[in-house]
Amino acid sequence: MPHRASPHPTHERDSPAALELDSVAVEIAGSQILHDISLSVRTGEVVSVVGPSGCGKTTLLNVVAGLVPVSAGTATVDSAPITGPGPDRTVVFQEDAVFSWMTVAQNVAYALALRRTPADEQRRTVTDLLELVGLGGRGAAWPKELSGGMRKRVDLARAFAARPKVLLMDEPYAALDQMTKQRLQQEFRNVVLSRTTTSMFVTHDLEEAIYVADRIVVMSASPGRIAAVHDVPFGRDRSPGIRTSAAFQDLRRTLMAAFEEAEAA
Amino acid sequence: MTTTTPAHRTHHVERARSGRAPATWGRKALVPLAIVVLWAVVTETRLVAALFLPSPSDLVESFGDLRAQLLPALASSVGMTLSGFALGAALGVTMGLLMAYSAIARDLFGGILDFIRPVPVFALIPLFVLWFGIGRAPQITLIALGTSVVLGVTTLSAIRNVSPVHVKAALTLGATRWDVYRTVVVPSILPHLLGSIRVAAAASWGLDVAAEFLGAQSGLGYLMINRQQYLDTAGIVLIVLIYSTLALVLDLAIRKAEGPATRWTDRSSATGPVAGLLGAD
Repeated sequence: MPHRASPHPTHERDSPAALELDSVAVEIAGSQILHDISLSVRTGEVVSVVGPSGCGKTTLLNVVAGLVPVSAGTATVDSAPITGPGPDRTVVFQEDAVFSWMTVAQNVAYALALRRTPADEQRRTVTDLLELVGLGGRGAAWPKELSGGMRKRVDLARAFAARPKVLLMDEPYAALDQMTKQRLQQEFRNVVLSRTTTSMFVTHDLEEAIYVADRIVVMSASPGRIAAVHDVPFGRDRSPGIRTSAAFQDLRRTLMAAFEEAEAA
Repeated sequence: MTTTTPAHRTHHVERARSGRAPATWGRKALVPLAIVVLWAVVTETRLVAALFLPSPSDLVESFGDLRAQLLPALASSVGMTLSGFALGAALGVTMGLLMAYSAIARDLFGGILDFIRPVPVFALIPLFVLWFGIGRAPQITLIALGTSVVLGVTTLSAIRNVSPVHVKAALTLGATRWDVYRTVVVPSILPHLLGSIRVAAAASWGLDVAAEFLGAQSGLGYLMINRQQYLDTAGIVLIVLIYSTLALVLDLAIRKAEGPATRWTDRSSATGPVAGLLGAD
């Protein structure tokens, strides 16, 4: 499916594709999970992927993460084919993936430590990122001392610290309460905007999909394929107030219809 | 999100715990103290014959009699047990780690380990005496075998329980297979492993006693059999108490070492999460 140019200035209209999926198919144990997925995500663009459960949205994210190989088609990041997991495509998982045996700071610095980044640079990055996700000064804490929402912030900071070309979000906030979720969505926006970041955000929450993304891909199941693509009519900065705006609710209704259609198909 | 920070909460718990400490200690000492008093009363008054249960003063007397033999026996048993345990622990943990890392190691050792695991090690003592004769070699081998099998199996099962999402997270953050092993697998199994090491350490004293019963010429267990032949119950009880003390000291030493490695877990507190939930008065 050819991508539609977004009419909004969240990113350059002609900025290069950071992530390019071309006729991707995935077959696992003889059953077709993904069928003919073509999608191109521009540098700096946030694309959310929604769809009924079982539509393969997490599999799609795992293809980009390099955790699931494609059976047909090509998947490239900055024109380089994806052959396995790597720090240019970090993931925030739905499950709690914070390393509980490391302090918050050690968690955030993990990818940097693997690269042998100089210690003072690691420390600077950790301090900045913890500040950005609202965990300033909590670097020495153990994960067991943090709430679920705080641990998700550590996860995001750790994934972002690796400076990925594509940041992958796999229903990261599904298990959190509404208030915490909204705050984390806002922080996600702040983090993503703090540096040009391309992101794929998988969720089953339509409101979340609209709030965080520049473009929304609706998938349908058996086999998983792209049913529709919608642009989000909001710019870079998103105050919490947009959630109640008419444009937001209109898009929500449109997506709901597309979602139901996808589910029926 | 609540505004109470967990740090504050921990602080409260700590304060509550330390405030309760004297009362808790008194309560904990009550039952052991009662047993000791009861023991002293029934034995010192000869309500129970010294042949069945010696009195505290019998033990002191026996200690005087056995002093010359006790020290070399103690040195011998401690040496045997510690070397057997250290050898077995090193072997078992290494085997478990190797099996987790490489499929070849798993194929090579996995089958044999599953085969040996259900065999009661004590049942091998007659064979060991036959193969290795009487002396240090069979004793150390027996303790090492018992320890290594237990630790090999628990290490492997601990590794199988490592959370896949942690491994996936590490891989996507740029970790190599070796990095995952070093930074995820080993640290996350460490608390579990240290627990098993404590169990194995306790078991190794038992293996030492059994080995000395059946074929040693020195050590505390050998001395015990020797005392049995003289109907010296006081001497036997004295040696039992020495074994208990030794096992307790080794356990304390391991727990001391455990502290920094398990600080991050919920169970690093003495009571653990479940006791904390159920222990409310």
